[in-house]
Amino acid sequence: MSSTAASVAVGTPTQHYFDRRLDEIKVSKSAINSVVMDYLISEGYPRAAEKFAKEANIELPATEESIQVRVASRRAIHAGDIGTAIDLINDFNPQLLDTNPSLHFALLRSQLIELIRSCMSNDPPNITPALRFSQAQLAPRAAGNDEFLKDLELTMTLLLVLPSDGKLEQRFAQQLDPSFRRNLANQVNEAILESQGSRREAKLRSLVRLRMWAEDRAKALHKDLPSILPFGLQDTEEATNERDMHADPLENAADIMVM
Amino acid sequence: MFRRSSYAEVAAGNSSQSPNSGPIRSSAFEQLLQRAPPSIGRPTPRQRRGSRSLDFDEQISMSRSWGRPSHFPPQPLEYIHREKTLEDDDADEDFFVPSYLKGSRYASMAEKAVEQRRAAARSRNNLSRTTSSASLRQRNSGVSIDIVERVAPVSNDLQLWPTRWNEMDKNVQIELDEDGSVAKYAGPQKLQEEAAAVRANRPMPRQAGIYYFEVSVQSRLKEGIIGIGFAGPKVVLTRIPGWEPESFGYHSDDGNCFQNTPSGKPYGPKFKQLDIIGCGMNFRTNTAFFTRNGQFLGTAFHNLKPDVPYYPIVGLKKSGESVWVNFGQEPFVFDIDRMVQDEKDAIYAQIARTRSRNMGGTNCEEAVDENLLVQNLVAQYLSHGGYVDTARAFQEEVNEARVRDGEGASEITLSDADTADGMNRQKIRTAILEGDIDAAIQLTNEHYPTVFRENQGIYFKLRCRKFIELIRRYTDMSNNDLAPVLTPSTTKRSSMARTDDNDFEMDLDDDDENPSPAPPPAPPAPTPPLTHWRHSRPAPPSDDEAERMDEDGDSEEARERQALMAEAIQYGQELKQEFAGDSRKEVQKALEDTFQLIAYEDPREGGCAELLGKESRAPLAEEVNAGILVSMGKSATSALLRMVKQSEALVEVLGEEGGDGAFVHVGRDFM
Repeated sequence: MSSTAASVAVGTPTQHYFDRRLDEIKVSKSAINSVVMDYLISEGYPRAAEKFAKEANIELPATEESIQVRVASRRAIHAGDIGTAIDLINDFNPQLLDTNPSLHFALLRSQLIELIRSCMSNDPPNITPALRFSQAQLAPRAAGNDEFLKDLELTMTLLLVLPSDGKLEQRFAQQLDPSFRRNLANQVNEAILESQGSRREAKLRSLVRLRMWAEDRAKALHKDLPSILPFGLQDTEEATNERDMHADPLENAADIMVM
Repeated sequence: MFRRSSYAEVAAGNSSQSPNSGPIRSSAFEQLLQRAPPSIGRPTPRQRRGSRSLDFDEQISMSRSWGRPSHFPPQPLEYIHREKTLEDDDADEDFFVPSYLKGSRYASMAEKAVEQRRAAARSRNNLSRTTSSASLRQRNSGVSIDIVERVAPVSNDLQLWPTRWNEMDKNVQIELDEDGSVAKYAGPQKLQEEAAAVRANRPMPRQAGIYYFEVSVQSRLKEGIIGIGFAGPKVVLTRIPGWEPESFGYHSDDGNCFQNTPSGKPYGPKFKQLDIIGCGMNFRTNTAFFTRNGQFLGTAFHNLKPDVPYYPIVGLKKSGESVWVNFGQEPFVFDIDRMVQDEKDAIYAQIARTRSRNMGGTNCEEAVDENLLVQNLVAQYLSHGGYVDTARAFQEEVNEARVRDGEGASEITLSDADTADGMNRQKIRTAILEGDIDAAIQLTNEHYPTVFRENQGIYFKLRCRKFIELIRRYTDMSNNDLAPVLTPSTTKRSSMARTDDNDFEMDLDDDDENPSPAPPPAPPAPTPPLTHWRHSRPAPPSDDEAERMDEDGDSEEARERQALMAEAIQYGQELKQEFAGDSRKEVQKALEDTFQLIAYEDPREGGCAELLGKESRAPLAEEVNAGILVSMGKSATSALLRMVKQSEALVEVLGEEGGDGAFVHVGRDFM
């Protein structure tokens, strides 16, 4: 992950006063390490956490029992196997989805999306299973909830727009984007953590939000800041942005449909 | 006591001679000028001190700029005392944190600053007078400096919160008691319309986000008025707060609140003896409110100016009236903690919501997938820090789920070169953490030949560290006489073979290492004896050592120790020789500090004992790692670390003027 651009950002000839200020701030290595460890544990990377405890010479926190199910359901969701994920969650805690209807609906909707995906990749496309699943599982739940209903409509429209050759509208394409699965996996992870009485999310996430919030606020108040505040992740950031913003959604969707 | 004596004088009707009264009573002429706000409300130090005579004034001003000259006549006791009340060092002695500020970033910074100042005050006592007059000047020059301070805060200049009424900033009729927490209208009433007010010793600090204090009415007389509120530094002290520009108050007689004018607006109930009135300002919204006996009375003032330092103020109308103030040294009656917590919760909720907006993609510029972002931050941190095994395990675990995700394994990839590089840096880090400096130098030279050339400082530090490690081993051995844990060198593992060993415990048995690693600059010349250095050493390895050896009765170990000391000395000489020509101050200072270790029989008792600790290896390891990264054209700071620093700096910026940032504590709540 080399980034030659990063060093440029560090020492521009006329240093902004804000950058000087950054230099004065001292953050202890162990504080950062504990943020990383917290992330590995709460987002479910047990092997990395174990290695990190060794390499950074810090204690491996007692991993609570949910880590295995969190890892497994993340894997299932990322693989598009939503049914397995739902089973895993139900085996672990039968009440979890009952008490969390919006998560349950999100999982079912995602399952429908996967179903549509596979229906449409058949030649000729056969939409019956998708329709049946939608009527049996989603329609009854969406009946009393406007938000669910809107989401369901959006998903069902995929049946109509997917075969078309033109570019998918952003709101349709979103459902097929990998980030859709990632968000779902994250929601499941947080819900399981919360059901275990743990903190809902990794500290790193709130740090990232704090960072964005603070920049937004400071800019809104016209504080004297450099026009951009790079993290130094440039190469990866650019790559990410490129994928997220400029990638042809159709191409993206097509890729997914092939698998 | 100064305050008591002046009280006696006032009571005897001699108030015009009281040293307390300052310039106001000093001459009939000045009395005529009483209505001119600056000279009355807030006499400058010069006026205050110059009340005796002009000559005196000149001498004072001289002493202010040059420190007190030795030929200066002894000061009257009151004078010295009076100056002391303005000293921050002095005020720090009764330092307390109001309950609602506990755990805030501001409070922890204040605690640190006070601690620093106390330490500094201990080391310099004579200088304190000059600094105090400097800070005095600064404070009295008014608003503009306050703003500059806020733009570039230094933790030492951190503005603290009020702690008491200000002896130096009160109407002459006001008498203070109980260390400045009780204010009483003590003098005879001169004019019907005149009141007497006193300001707190410091303005309400914007960094607090919300500032709050309570005043309890001890005694209120019929037809009297008590006004509680806040005012700028220049507002006259002969009026009830609220009647003058930049003055705000809630009045006991009608329950009205007054803002810059003598005509009030209906606000709350009247208040009387034994009532407790709270006054709070929200710097985020620039509003102020009052409470009465724990009940919130609603917002009283809007659109307060963000650039005026508002001081808590109380004004009394009738002789005999008195109030007691609680700036937070005692629990409050109103649940201000709750209010501050609610404010904080609202902001934290706003922060938590930031995600959805940024991820919703409404703003394409900022649309970043948070999941990917955090993943990348962690991956980059691991690879940047040389945590190779972790980075690899993380990559595998991330990619396991990725394979069918349509993204392939493109997200997090460690190229072979990256992996090799990471492993090399890890070896170097491990060597340093184990105290095996020779191995670290050798490895660095081998894999990153340009590092030492580009960054001499790192090379120098490693060389110094090696000396420290030698002394450390020697000390551990000496210590062994008392607690024998040292095993003789039975296992001779090479330092290279140990690099992937994660046991960071110090090995005591590796005296088989190469004593002189090839340093990249010119190899050390044959070393002439360093007499100066040798003389400063209390325990030369000759006679004394021999004696000790006899005492110990363990010649084997004593010989080892002796050899170790000899090695340390020889190495020290080489080191000194090598850097003798380096005229940089920090280099020579570091050498001095390092060599100082040898001056102690037990170096752990010396002034540089912390150098010996294993803990001091970690920062060096990080520095070397950063140096290597820079030499390869990478950033010395990981993205994650930079992001944390940016967050902290941004929050600081947001908190300076009492905005949202005042309620955010990055270290405590986000890490």
